[in-house]
Amino acid sequence: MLAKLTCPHCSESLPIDLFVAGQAGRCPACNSQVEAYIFPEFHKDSSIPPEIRLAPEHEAACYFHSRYRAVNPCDNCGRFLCEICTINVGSRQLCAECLSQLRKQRNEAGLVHHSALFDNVALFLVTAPVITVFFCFLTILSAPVSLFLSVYYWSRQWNLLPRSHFRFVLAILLSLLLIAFWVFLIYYIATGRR
Amino acid sequence: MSYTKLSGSGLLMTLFPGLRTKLYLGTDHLLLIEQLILVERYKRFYFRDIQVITATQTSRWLVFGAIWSFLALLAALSFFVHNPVAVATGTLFTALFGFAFVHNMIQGPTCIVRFQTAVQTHRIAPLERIRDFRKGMEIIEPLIQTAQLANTPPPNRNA
Repeated sequence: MLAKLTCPHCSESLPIDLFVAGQAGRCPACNSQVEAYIFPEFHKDSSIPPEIRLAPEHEAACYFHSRYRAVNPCDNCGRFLCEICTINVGSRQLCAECLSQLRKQRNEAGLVHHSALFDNVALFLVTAPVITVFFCFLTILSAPVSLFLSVYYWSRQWNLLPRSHFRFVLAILLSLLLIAFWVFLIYYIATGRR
Repeated sequence: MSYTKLSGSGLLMTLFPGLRTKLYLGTDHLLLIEQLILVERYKRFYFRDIQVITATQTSRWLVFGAIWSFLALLAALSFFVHNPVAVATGTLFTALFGFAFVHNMIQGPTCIVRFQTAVQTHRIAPLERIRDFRKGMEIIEPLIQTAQLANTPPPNRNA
């Protein structure tokens, strides 16, 4: 099945010959201006099933399907793979196990798909209750938690692209300020009652 | 792997921490980083998988232009009030909305950009200004063409 080009506005099919790279065309149905860059991958027939051949004797067979002929080794673990088991990830060809591992691997070669932003969490804990005013009293708990998160994740936070420590610094300063405020308030109340 | 920043989210989104999207250029893919408050999501679009990139002009920039100018004019009404505090506040807000209006106009027309692969169509927010889109396409298009012409059909090393 060949891929379909549809209008982003009305979802009607668009004729491919309407578009020249870098020049806008108009959708015949809704008349909206559409600019489309069509690449060779678009013309590929995706309905053609992968070619599977049985492995003749003395020939490399797939690690997962011992009857099928191996066509590629996994770029990560080196296992022989048949057409079914080969997963193309960019220029790499991987087996399902390696793909699963790489999605957890927190380094540049990995394929991790999300990461937590502990600097935002720490900053959120000290700013959100103050901004709402009504929940300001919560900072008695959230400020120490924010301080702990900032110190603990200072060097432990991992992101695919490095982030500055600005938010951590801000969270530490604000949490220290709030802790000092609460200590002062508690001390004042305690001494005032005597 | 080194990444080069192609485009970031607009001025309005930059002001909201935790709602940013950025597009980076990698060696064999584009990396879309979507920040949703406390989590960062990474979406990779490999050059060899992209089938079509579409852009459709929208009137969002005119709508925002109208909103910013209306707010700037509204804030400028404070100049008629004979109160120094009101005038100072009004000046601040007029400058703020005026800056947003000018910035929006300088950035130019907006569009909706979509990347289509065999399995999904994804909206790419960081390229949603015609100027950013054209500039980005100048870099991306030759890379996708080269990757797809060099890699078709998928390599079969033992065949």
